[in-house]
Amino acid sequence: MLSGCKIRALWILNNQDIVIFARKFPVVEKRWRVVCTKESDGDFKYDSLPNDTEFAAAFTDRKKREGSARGFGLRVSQSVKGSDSWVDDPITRHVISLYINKEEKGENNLLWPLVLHIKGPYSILVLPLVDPCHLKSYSKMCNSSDCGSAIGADENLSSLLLDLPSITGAFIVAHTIGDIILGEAMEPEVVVAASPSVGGLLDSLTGSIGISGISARAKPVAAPVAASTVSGTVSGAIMSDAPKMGSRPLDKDVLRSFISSAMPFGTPLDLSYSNISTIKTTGFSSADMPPAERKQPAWKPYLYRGKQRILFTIHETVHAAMYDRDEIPDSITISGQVNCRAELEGLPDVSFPLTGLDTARVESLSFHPCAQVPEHGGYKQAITFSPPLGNFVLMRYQSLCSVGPPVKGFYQLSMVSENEGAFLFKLSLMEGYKAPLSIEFCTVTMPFPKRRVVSFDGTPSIGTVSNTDHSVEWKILTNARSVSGRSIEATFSGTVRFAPWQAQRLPSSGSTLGSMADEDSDLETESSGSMVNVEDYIMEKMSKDLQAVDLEEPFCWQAYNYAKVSLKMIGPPLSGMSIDPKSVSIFPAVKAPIEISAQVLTNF
Amino acid sequence: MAVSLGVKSSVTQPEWESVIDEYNRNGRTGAIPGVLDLCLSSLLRKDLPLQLKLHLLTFLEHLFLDDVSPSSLPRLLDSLRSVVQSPADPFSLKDQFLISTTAIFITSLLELDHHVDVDDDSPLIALVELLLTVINRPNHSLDRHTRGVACECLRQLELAFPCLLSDITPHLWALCQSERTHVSQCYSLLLLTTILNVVKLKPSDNSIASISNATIPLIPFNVPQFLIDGVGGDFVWKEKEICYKELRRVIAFLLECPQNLTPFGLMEFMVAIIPMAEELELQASLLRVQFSWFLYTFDPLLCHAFLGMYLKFLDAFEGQEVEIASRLLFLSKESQHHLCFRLLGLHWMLGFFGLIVGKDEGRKRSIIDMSLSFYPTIFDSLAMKALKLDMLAYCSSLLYNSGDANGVKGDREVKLFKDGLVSVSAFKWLPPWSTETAVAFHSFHKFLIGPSPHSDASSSSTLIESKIFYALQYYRFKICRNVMVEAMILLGCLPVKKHKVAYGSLSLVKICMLFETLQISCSPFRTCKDPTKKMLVDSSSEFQGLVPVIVACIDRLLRCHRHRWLGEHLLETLDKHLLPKLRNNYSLGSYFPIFKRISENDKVSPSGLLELLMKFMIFLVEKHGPETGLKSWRHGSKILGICRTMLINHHSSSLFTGLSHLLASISLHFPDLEVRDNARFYLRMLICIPGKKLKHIMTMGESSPGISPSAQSDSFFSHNFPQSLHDLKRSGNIASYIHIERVTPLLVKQSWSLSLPNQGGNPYKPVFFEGIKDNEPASEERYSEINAGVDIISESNMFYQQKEPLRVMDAKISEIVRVLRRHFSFIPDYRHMPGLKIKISCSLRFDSEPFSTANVLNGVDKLPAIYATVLKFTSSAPYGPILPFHVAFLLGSPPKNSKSLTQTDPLAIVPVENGHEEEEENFKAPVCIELEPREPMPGLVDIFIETNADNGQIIRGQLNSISVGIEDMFLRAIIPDEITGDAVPGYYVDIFNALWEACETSSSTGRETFVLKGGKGVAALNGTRSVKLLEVPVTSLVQAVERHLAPFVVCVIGEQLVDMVKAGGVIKDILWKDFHSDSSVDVTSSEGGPLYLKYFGDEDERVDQIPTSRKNIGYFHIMIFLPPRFHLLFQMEVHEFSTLVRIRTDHWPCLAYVDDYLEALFLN
Repeated sequence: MLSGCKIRALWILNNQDIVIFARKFPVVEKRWRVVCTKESDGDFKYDSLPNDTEFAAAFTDRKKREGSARGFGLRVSQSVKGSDSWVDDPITRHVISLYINKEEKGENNLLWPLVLHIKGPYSILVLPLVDPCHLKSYSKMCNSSDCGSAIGADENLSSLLLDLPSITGAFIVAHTIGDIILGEAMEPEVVVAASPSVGGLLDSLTGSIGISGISARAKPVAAPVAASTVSGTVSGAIMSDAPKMGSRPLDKDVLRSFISSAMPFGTPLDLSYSNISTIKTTGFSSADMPPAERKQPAWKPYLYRGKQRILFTIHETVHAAMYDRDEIPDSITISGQVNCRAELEGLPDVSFPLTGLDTARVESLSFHPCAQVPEHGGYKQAITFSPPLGNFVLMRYQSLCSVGPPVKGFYQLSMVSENEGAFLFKLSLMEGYKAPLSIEFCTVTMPFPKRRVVSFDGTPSIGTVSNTDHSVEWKILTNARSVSGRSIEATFSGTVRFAPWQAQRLPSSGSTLGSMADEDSDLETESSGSMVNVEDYIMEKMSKDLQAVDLEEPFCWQAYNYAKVSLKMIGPPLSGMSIDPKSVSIFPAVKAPIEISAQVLTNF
Repeated sequence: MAVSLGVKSSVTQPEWESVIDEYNRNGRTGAIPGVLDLCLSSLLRKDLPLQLKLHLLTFLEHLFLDDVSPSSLPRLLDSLRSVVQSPADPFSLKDQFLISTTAIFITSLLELDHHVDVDDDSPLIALVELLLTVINRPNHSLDRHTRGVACECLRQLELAFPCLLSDITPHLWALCQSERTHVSQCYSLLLLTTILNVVKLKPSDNSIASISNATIPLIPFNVPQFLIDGVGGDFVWKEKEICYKELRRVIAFLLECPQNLTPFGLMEFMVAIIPMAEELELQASLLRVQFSWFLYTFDPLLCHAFLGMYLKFLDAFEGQEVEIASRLLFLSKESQHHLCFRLLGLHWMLGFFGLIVGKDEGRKRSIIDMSLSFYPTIFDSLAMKALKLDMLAYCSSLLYNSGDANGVKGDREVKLFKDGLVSVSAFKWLPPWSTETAVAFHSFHKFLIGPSPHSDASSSSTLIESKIFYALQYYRFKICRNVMVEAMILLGCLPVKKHKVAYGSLSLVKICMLFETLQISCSPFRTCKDPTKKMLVDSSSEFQGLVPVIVACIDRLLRCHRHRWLGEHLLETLDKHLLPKLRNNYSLGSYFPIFKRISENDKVSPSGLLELLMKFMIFLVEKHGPETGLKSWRHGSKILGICRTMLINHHSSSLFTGLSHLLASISLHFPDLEVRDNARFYLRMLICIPGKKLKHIMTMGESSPGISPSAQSDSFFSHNFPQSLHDLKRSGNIASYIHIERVTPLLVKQSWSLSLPNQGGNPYKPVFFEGIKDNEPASEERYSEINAGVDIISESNMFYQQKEPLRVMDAKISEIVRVLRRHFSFIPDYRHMPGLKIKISCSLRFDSEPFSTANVLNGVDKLPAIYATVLKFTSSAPYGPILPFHVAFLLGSPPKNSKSLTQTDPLAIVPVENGHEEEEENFKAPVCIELEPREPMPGLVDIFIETNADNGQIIRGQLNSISVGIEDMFLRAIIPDEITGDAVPGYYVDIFNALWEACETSSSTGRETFVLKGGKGVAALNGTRSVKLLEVPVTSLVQAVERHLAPFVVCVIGEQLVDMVKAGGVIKDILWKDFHSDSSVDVTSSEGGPLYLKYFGDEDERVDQIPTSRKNIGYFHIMIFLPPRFHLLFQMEVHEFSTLVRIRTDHWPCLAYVDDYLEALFLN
């Protein structure tokens, strides 16, 4: 039985673990109480929702027990029975349980599933409605005395999650709320060419209520997106989860009114913040006539009026790992998306063929819900969609790269002594890239998260170098220049000196998995004899107090010496994705200019 | 603040805010009377800001959840009406008021059974009417959003009170059809929910028939009959043709709208449409056409909604599994998604597989075929990697379960694991607490237990018997082994072979290589080295860090009831493959956690480990120096810790040889005193205490190791006395009234019970230091192995080298050897002929009291008796077969005496001067226990009685055991027949001197072997020395010697002492010597007390100058023969107030008892 998505309650905690916002949904809670009372038995009965103090206490408690707010995720030696990490599944870092300790009753009540989303300084916890049987099943799982459930066993977390769309819904709610409280741009970026400002009604509407980004987008060239500042995330810059600085105090009224509109009874109906806030602030006038010929979709409460045009922007992010070994091919993948802004009157359908994508290389392809996708893979030929208001992501794809990486090269760092490393870069930019491309900037960063950079020597063949405490940054290209067809060669060799090595003590709370090195492990290295050279020795020493990374990271970055290349190109996408303006058709037919732009970002 | 609210009629904004905050924090409103009234009045005030009013409304909602008061609903409704109808109030207040009021109504009125008490003037009806008025203006522009909100309110009411709106469905449909603004979603969902309830609950036969034309007006609203009586119809919709058609029309209409709904709206839509489709038996293909696009969106909620539908109509969607799985895979691959959605995608896929796989081989195969795409990629987060590895583990378990039963399977499973693990291969060199390590071992665990989940339907008992189980064990074992070999490579113990497997498909090769080079790629400077070489270079010192992780993993399996055997397999594998590969250096110390597990587990033979520990011990001894003192101590203590664990967890029989060697060597050679002492202590325990009791003692903790359940445990006496003869049958009670006691009590009340575990079939094997060996070459390779590695402790192993040819020796030694040869040739070899026996005299008696209660008896004449008593003896100590003893007749002892006797210690000394002795003796039968010790050690002899009572009843049972002390073993050395008369003392002295020399630890006779009587067995001498200082005055010493050791004194030296002893007259027929005539004394005493020596020469002249306490009065030489072939020699250096006893023996374990014996003998 598909159970839908209902939310019992949600909480927002700040980084001092104090509940700063809480909302309970009495209708859903009443339903839970009714079901619980029906199914209650010796072990299971209804427990009222905790108040803020109890909730905060339980959250802090879990944090202590599980090492961090998210928890261990996997069952490690510190895991205790009854805790989330006992279940031994990484998703328990996102779907957590709390033991609520009611003062007067003196008992621990399990609260599950709580969807945890950490955004900036806030922890957002959403409690969706489930069946009592699900709760019992989870409770059994985290209290089982065996060694951990096998994959595909009868009662497992996977089948629970499959059974519970409410958890999925709660995740979406949590993320939406996270974006709202941080006031982040919620619309994808669409690059607008220099043209007279679009003075439509919607713009004036949305502009006045502060849908962010619109005014910025009127500039000729959009400001580079977050990734150009190399925040350290690997996953696409678009979905960067990195905390933003300067978070303003939580606007509770905005949040409260959003929640009341988006899920008045705890059942979310529409989470589009821009639509909801427009409705709240603007309302409707008698001029907003419903379309005569067809129904207005729920996701398009207003119709656009004004000068018509369509904008497309293709964003691509390249992820590459280069091995510099003949037998191992480099791995280059592209995650791309087509953002769109359709300023069209009425409720037209837009369609265009997907010609550019090399189907052999595309690994995945998915669309906005407004797109009509014919059944059985027909999507590969053409796409038809009825565009919503504002900017939206029309489609996403993952693809392998058809050409080589935009930056190819060689980087070597050898520690010549304990506090000094010699490095060498040999890079070749845009090898094999053709003319219409232009490269906007290209920067190489050598991060040294564990060492403090004191100074460096050496001059690059091109560009400028600067250093911060924990990195050396080499700006190869700072001004946009078009690609001539020849590759740009760049070399940079030099030495970097670090502050004397200090063994870092593991902060007790910092590492997620905690330190498993017990006091009894007395590692005794054979004195120098087995060490091959100083480099190994230093590496050995350094790797000893590496901290465990979060499960959210792909690997322990600190364990490697690597350089990160950031670059932005304007021009045809690497995946071959393209939209031919001539083939874009609008129905009912209307003459509207179509603008297409593309940009490529890299992350190595 | 809260209190002040009560007196005020109007409340300001800050006051409200503090009240609400307080409520949120503690769930209490404080003592505010009439919060509701205050709220309502505040809501209607014009001066309060809108945001506060909205906040107040949600506060009210929260409040009503805890505090239900239906009586206030009408007032609430009135306020709502006034707000809704007021043109001045903004829409957002109206919306929120509608929502909150509805919520409060629902929470107040909803009862357990969805039933609601409604009468005509119920506020609920008024509310519904109000809402209906609001929604009944389709396409009206200004309030369109409020209409949508009202629709949602109605929908919630319909959900809470099903079929509330069933009568007005036609109106709803009409409204839904005409609404064209964006709130049409709300109208559609309202209609859908109402119809669903109608379809499901069938409130009346005709409610749907008239859907196209309404029969009743929308307002006034009446509660439908169904909600009042709760009786629904019972029919099938398909059979009601008109209704069915109408319904189909409505549904066809509704199915048109999904494109216009928001994702969450769609979710609600699906929730309602699926049960409806089921109820109406719609074709699932219809739904598929309508909703399959969900899968192609990037909205996770829609994907999930589709999955929900799919699982509902599994059959209708058959054949699409692979497509759906691949879409889910796409979802997880999209790097634009938040991690949690990608993880969810993988989880759905796992859950999905679990549901569809069933027994269908085809589906299984297609899943397995997909396994290539489950391999993690470089930039997948570790959480993703972990889950993808779980997927691979799932595939491997499918592989296992799939029908083809050939050996390839196991290999493929292993391969899946190995290939998968590459993605986190960095764990090989990262510190053990790294996340990569956690992921790697997480997957390791999943792979291992994959095919035998805990929830397996077949219970474990039946599983164990099934063939599957064995097969499973085989494959798991294979995996275990392979994985462990991997682990060992990691631990730096095995040379790394290129474990490149011929990969099946090209793409796999790519993927694998990708993984393999992951770590290289990210650290370019590492590329310059061959990674495999690197692994070799980074020796165990680096990888030993993994030990705690491996141990944690094994622990986890061991603790699991179902997978314990896996853990044991792992341990066995480690024992077999890892131990021999470990380098013998200080780094071995970090492997001790593994050793501990091995020693804890009685399924794994400890011999390998003992061997390794022995080597390690030697290493420690060799390396010992001033700087390594602490290290030696620490490692030594660790070794002892392992020994201790072994003692607790293993049968001592399996340990005995190895462990005693190890402990002996430690106690002899280890540089650290404390370790030596502890080792000796453990050794003593190992030798003296039977297994079960030993375990008990060890687990009691270090604090009270000496306390042991002695033979005279109180439990025997705490039994109730038998009240009737009937109770006599109970064997447990017999010991309380039939007593067997030693005639001569033991000097040493052994504080431990003295025996070794039963020897089973082979009586020779577990005997410590199998002293006698046949001339044939030893067949056991083990010993030579040990010996090869253990040069340094050659003394204790010397007898293994007995095959070596004789050495050149000087005249003195050859004389010693000659004497000893002769002596040994008279010692019977108990393996080939009757051995030497010792006799222990006991007495048997029983109390007549328990018998007399059965037969009323008076006087001695009618004392009860027992007849034809047979006593059978067994012992766990190596005493050889013990013959049973028969007592024909025994009279019960009279009650008066028996009472006092039973309460005294049965082993206590019975005063000889007892006046009733004669009388007593009548009631006692002498019993003689003949033992043929294989080893001179104290022990217990268990006694079983079988006897007949007066009335013919047979009594069987166990009596209290008899302790055998070391002094029972004391025999005089055998005198050859040809030595008679005066020659005897001289002979004894010769043997004494020879043995004394031979037992010198550094003696060169140690390598000699001596043929025993019969010529088949040979024995080696293996001497040990010890010293004991007894602080007793000479007189009492002499008395004690005379009383207890007189037969064994071979020689008394020193005029003063000789005079004393001769005067006593007890010791006769021995050699008397003065100091000057004895050379051996000088030699030994020069070692022990050089300070005294210079006085010896001119003792006579300087008598006054020597303090009396230091004055050496003389020596006793005492030689005791310990059956079967050992000797105990005392040289007592007697002083005025103390005596130094030098002890030598060729059976060093006996030193353990000698110590106590001497103390008991002289000091008590």
